[in-house]
Amino acid sequence: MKSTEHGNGTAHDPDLLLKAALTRRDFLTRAAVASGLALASGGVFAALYDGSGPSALPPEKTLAGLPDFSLPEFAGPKARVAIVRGPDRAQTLGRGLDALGGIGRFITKGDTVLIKVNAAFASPPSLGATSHPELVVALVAQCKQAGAGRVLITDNPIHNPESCFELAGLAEAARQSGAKILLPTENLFASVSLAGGRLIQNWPVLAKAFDGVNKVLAVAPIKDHHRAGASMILKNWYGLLGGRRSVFHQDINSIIAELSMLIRPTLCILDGTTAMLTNGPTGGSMADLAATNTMIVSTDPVAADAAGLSVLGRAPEEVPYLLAAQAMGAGTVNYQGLDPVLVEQGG
Amino acid sequence: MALRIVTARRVSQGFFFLLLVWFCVVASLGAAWYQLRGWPINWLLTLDPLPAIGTLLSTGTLTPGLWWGLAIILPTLFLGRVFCGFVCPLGALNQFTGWLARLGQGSAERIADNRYRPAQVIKYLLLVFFLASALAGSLQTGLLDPLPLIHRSVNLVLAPIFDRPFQVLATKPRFYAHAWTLAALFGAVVLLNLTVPRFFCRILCPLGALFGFMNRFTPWRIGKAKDTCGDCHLCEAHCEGGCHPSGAIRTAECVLCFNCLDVCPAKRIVFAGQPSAAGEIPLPDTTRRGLLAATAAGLLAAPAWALSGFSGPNNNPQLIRPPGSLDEDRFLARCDRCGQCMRVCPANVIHPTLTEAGIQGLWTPMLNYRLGSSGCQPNCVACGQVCPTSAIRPLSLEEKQGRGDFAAKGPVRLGTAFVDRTRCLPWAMDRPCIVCQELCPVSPKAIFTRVVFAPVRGGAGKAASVQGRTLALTGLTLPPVNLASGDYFLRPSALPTGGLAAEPVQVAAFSPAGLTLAREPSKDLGWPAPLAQGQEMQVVVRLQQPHVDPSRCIGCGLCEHECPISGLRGIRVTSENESRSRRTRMLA
Amino acid sequence: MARRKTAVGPGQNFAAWSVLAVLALSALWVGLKQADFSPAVLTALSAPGTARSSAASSPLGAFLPAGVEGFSPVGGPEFFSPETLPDKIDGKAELYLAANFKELACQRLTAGAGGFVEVFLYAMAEPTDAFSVFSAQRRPGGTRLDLTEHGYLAGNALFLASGPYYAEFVADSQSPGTAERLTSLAKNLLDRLPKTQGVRDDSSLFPAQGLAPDTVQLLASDAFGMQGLGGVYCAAYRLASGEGTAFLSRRASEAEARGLVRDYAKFILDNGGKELPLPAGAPLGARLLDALGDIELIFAQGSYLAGVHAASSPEAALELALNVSTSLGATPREGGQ
Repeated sequence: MKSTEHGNGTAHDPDLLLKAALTRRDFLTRAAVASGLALASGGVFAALYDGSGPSALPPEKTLAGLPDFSLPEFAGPKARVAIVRGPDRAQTLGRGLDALGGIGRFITKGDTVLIKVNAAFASPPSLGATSHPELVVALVAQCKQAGAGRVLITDNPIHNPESCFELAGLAEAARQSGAKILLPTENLFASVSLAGGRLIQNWPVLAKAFDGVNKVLAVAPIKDHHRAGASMILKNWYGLLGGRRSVFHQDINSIIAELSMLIRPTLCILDGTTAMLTNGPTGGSMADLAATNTMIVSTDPVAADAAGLSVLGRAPEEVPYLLAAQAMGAGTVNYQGLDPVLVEQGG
Repeated sequence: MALRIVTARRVSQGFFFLLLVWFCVVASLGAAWYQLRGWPINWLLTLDPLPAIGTLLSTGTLTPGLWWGLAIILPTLFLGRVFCGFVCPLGALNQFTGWLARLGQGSAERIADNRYRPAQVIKYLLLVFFLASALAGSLQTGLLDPLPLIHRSVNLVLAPIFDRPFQVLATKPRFYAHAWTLAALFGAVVLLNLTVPRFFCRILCPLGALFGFMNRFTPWRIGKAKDTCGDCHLCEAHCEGGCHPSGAIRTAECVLCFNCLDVCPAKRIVFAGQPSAAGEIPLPDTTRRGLLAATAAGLLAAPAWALSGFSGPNNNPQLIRPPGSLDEDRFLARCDRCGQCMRVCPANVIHPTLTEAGIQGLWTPMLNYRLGSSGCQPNCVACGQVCPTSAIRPLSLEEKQGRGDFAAKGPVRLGTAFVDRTRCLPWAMDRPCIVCQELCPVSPKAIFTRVVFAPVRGGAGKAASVQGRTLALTGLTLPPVNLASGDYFLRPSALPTGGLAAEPVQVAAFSPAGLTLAREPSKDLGWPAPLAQGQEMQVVVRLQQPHVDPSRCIGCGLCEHECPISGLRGIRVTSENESRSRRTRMLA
Repeated sequence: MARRKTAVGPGQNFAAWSVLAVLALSALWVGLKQADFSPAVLTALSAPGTARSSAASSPLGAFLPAGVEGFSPVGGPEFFSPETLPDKIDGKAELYLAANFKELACQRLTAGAGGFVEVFLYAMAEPTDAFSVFSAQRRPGGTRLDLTEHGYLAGNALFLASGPYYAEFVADSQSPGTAERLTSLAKNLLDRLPKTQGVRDDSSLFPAQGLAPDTVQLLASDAFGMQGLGGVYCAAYRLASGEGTAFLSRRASEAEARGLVRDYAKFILDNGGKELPLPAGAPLGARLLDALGDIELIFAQGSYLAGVHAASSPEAALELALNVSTSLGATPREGGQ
């Protein structure tokens, strides 16, 4: 065009050279790109504008709680409980699950399942202080049968976790059944402040063990407990706490009630095949154990514990944390009101 | 199947590089297959003959384990620098980086890059300097020895950075003081390959220099079978040593990469028991003057460093060496700065020094109780067990704890804890704290407390109303403390004439209505009874002030690590009374 | 680069394969060597719990059984202080802490095919404290042992108290030889413990008549649910007139004992109890209360606080209280007798 002709004639004049190169199309392209960049930079500035300036302290990294793993179809009064009598854990578990509609109602294909066991002590399974490996093997097999992807097993025994899992037979149970033991390493803990909680404030909790998990099963034995009265499903959540958690023993009922709000499991399996009736939670003598031949499978952890208390021959009134958990809305102690399925094994 | 020697060389380099990575991964204390178990994590370090020769010169003895160096020395004497070509993981890394940087380059540029450079003589002078300094008692070879260099670079810089999101190697993120200096050297070594291929190997590596002297009399070597050839110089396009194989070859520089032999289109380059037909230059270009100067500098450097008195009266009290460390002079005659102790320490309490041990002690291990995840753990002997040169002696748990055969000698002491009374909470601030005493792992505890009742600021008042154990006080202007914590007490401050000192009585509860005492004050306690209204009272705090029993303290630093004064701690360990030195002994 | 494949001569071929052979041998050697554990790892494995503040060693460790035929230790001993006790026996630590716990030493032993035994040795401040934790956890139906003052065997476990020490020997299973094996361990430990003088012990003050065997307990704290009431011996009785638990506790002074009678009565009344009229012949200054069906009778005699807890009837309470009172020494009675 015109300007090009100009340019050809005055190639040595830099000013004109510039003009010459600037065709209309060139100009428009350049103007468009420049405007785009101007808008983008303005947009980035506007989007990231922070009128209030930096806060005095970095924001505290604390979680407000753990995800809710309970199933809505079993919420509140729709909770289900099965109580199965019999000496064989695999069978009583199977029948209990069947009574609630089968494992398939709780675990679906591809689920990542976390089983919270009681591995608090480096004590052999025969002493009944920890979750029984036979039950864990049977439960993992059920999960796998229902199509679960990964099955993880965890607990935080403060003293020497490896040897607790090993001696309680749980490490072997995991190897046998193809589950994975998740040892409570430092990086699995995160600070949690439970909304409405008084004790669980900025406290280290085994929260990152739940990353990627979509179903949580609680598996605990029925035990007498020196400090708390009884240790079953709810007391077993104590193993989610890190730090120097023994300070909470001074207010054991409140901490257990708060734990019942912190974590809502998909399903609870309370093992009273042999119950520790005296000298809990450590026991030591087989004289502390009794063959109570009961397996409780429940979607309501409070109802599970209330049913478990009857195995110990105690009333919910003797265990204040259970009433406190009920008051906070974690479940009901009136398991009879949930119309429990009673199964006599072989019947 | 016909296998080319360069293929075998690449496999070998890959093998040893992966072995290095594996040994760095597994160096965490534990029994799992991916943990320490019995993996010979020092094997590559001990195959390197430089620590053996260095400590031989500095101590006059051969440390067990270092005899592995012979496995390299012997083939070197007969074949040449096999280590550089086939084993050295840093050499492999340098070769790989150099290759990567020159992808797509033409032969002419490559041939120019691989020409012999006069600067290649520097490494010989460095080696001579280091060996002379070792002879004078100061082992410095580890600074540039490629094996310690790559071990500490991977273990103390790369592994902690890459493991941080995964925490496979350690349950807590690892720290290493001054690690950036290690990173800077490592980064420089790698990046310099962009300027000259295998820059470090050709110009700086003291180990390569050692092999360069060693292969003076090799019966077999690389060379041209016939002097006449097409002068294509392809042999030099990939020459890793810069040793001029097309002409009079500099055998000392040849790293046995065998690339020349592999690419020569006329197969004129051979590995044979005859000199190159084009001639050879068997010795490095070092001049007599250069060698003399390097020797003199090395011999003088060690005594010059000693003038600072770092191993004598001017020792750095903050320099706490790992348990089992030799006294400073003998320690510096052995420590090769490989960083294995720092890597294996489960408490992450061992860190490389920068200037703390003087310039001659650069990157040697010291304990940092603030940076560690705990103090030195009483049940652990890992650092001494992995030290390849015994600068840290391999202790048994019995010896470390002073049990059994070692009961008479007592436990190994790293230093002594000193309470800083200007910073310790109960000493300086009238605030109760007994963290250090509680955590002292020695039995009986080396830290004990003495109870003192100190008046609380603004805690003077007058009894307003008295009802049994509860009394209201007027005039208190207390700081925001929890009076009912069990640490606070009350006592009458002005007593009737002739009264003895009144015993403080614990405050059990505190409410706007007043203080409730834990027990009823009585005349037995020296209190005026009944307590009159208007009686002057004083709130006092019970302080358990910590003291250290120097005959029990082992300097493990658990107290310093846990002290709640997070900056300059209220209790700190310094090297006084450390077992390794007679000079710092504090007690008669 | 333009690389031509040139023929590989036999020498080069041999050298190249030799290199690979050396690599294979090295890999093999490294693979074998990793099974030969480093002393650093062996030490770390045998001393678990290093990260905790429990002491690495302690004089208490010297009393743990050692050199018993058929047993060998697994790892080193572990020690726990009052601060770290909850790490080992979380949930039950308070029982020990309330009874002046000082230190716990644990050692796991293997009896080969006979399984494992874990020994717990608790050092308490006083013999009474050791007896307190011993009696508080007594299993019913145990077989009494006369190795020392207090000891019994209950299935897979042996429990004993000697001087200020309380010990548990817990086997992981029960088999015919378990009792003998545990007893040999207990003997070894008792031989190592420092010899203690026979201690004066208020448990001997209980009257023999109607005493249920092996029920004497020392409640270290919060006896009968009352906060702050500790150092109380109690024992179960079956008399013709009914059942009840007798208790006695020596206090610092007569005034304190009398004060506790008042406090305890107030505690019962505050919790829904009712005062009953005192029958004639009851110990002087006694209180008789009905605690929701359980009868409580409390009195002070000298510096002793004594009484009957949870008796089945006022008659049983009175009979048992008088027996206790007599056993503490003759004293004035209510009702001018």
